[in-house]
Amino acid sequence: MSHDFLPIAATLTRILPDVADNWLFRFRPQRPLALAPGQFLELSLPGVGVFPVSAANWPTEELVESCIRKAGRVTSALYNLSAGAQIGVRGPFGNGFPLSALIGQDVLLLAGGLGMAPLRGLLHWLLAHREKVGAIMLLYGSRDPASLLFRQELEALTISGIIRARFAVDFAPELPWNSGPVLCRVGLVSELLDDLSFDPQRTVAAVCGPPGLYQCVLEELASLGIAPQRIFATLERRMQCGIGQCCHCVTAGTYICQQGPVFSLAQLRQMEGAV
Amino acid sequence: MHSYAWSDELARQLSEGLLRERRVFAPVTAGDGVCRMQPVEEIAGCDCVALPRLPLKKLVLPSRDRLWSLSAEDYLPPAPAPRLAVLGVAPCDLYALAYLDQAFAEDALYRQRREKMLLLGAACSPHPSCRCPTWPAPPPFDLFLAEGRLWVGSAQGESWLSSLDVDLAVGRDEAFPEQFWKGQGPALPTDLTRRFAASAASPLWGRVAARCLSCGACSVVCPTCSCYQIIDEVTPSGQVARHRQWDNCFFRDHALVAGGHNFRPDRASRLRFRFEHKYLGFGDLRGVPSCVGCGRCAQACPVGIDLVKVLESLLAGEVEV
Repeated sequence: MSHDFLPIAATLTRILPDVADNWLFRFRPQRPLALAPGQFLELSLPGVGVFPVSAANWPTEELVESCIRKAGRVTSALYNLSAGAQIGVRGPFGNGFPLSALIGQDVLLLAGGLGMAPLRGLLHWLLAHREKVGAIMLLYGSRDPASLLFRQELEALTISGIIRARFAVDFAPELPWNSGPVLCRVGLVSELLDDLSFDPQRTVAAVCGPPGLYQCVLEELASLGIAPQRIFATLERRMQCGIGQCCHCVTAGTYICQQGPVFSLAQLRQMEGAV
Repeated sequence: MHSYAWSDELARQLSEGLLRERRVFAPVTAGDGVCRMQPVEEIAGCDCVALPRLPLKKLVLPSRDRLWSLSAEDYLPPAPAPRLAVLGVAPCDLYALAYLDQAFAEDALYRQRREKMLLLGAACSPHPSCRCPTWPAPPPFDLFLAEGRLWVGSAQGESWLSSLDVDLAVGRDEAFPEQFWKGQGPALPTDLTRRFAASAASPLWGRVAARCLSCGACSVVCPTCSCYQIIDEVTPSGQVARHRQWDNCFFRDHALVAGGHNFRPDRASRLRFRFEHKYLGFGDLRGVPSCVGCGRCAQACPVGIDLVKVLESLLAGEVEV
């Protein structure tokens, strides 16, 4: 009998504890998982539970990387595992970012906190299609410099001129770096938009972060001239099934796990309670 | 639709045939006054004696439904579903099952259980708590007993009936009479979506929800409430299994996410969420109301909240639209 809930076995191959309580877990599924950027998986620890997580890399056929915050019972159990441990995955689920809409366009990535993880998957896709897209801009805000995810990788991409990136932190024990190609300020990520030069007519925005970020930044992007149908956000909900059954993710009558998790601002404006 | 005269001989043959081949469930009112849909060893009758407190969802989506168990490195699917016959099912519960059939159309476990289920509907007698809406078409069933005739509603029903050693020559064809299924309540207004959207800031939700205890009894007894959480279990002997277990949208953590944000933090938003599912529907079933008017939620609510009255208040214009 075919069965919707049987996980695909996966082996943890490496755990990269670069950022405290936001480790990067690399795993190899037993059979290839072609996750499009913005789609998600249900990661399964047999005997403990499941949680939804996005891929922080692309492509994902061989190895999937997920940045997982130690937040609850199941994620904490994951932190007790070592490389070689067996886990399970189901998916991919959801729609992902509209990749064809990015072709020929400048792309503005705007991340808050752990929202950098799914946007790194999209960034990898953009880098793999570098000739087909215009400028790649990244605005990334986090709590403090130590909590910036993928900092070395993002700095290297910025220094080499492949992307334009700016960082913002809420707190900094010392003055953030503000010289050279990599800029970091103390402040809100939305403030990085203030003097950013970009052409809103040919820019598509992809945003990922906590609910508070969406409330302030999505309409601000629209007010800067990016059309609402070209501003995309990926919604965080407590998806448990991924297949439009368990109802936890339902927002404005929509199963976020199936019809999302990526929506345009034009759609979100019609969805009560979405952001 | 084809029907046959109900006779003692047909009743006897049907009873014997069902009990021989299937686990048979029928509504039984016990000494405590509660009617339950429960397994029976003998069939006293095929009538709808009362609405069972828990609806048929408990048979197709058990409250704790094993998804798999782990043996060494292998995931074992659950045991195949047994063949069931369910007797004395009221039309509202048939409609509810038809709704779940759509919502779980892709679900292998659900489908398997449904395919092995022979459904015998029965005409009901209205109860003061009944809220059945006006239906546009009869509910799906295999067989249906009403006013001395046995109606055949499906190929499965027909073929099962023809397997009995009984003379059915007196059959006749006519439309399934509306009195058995039509319902009596008003149809929902066509602009309910707009009225609902306009009610977001209405004090109606907070006023009703102020009484709500978040106990979730309404969802438990609802024949179309089917949300669940995924629960893992490890037995003392080390056996690992995963279940889906009835969840409840009135519980505080239903829309809580890992970062600590709760998208439905108060009872008013949770009441509105349940209302939306019952009258507007979710996902692919948007526009398909899931309230079948059985009235169980109003009976089960310890503080007397009746969603139909909430609907009436909304429609009576207590909300500015």
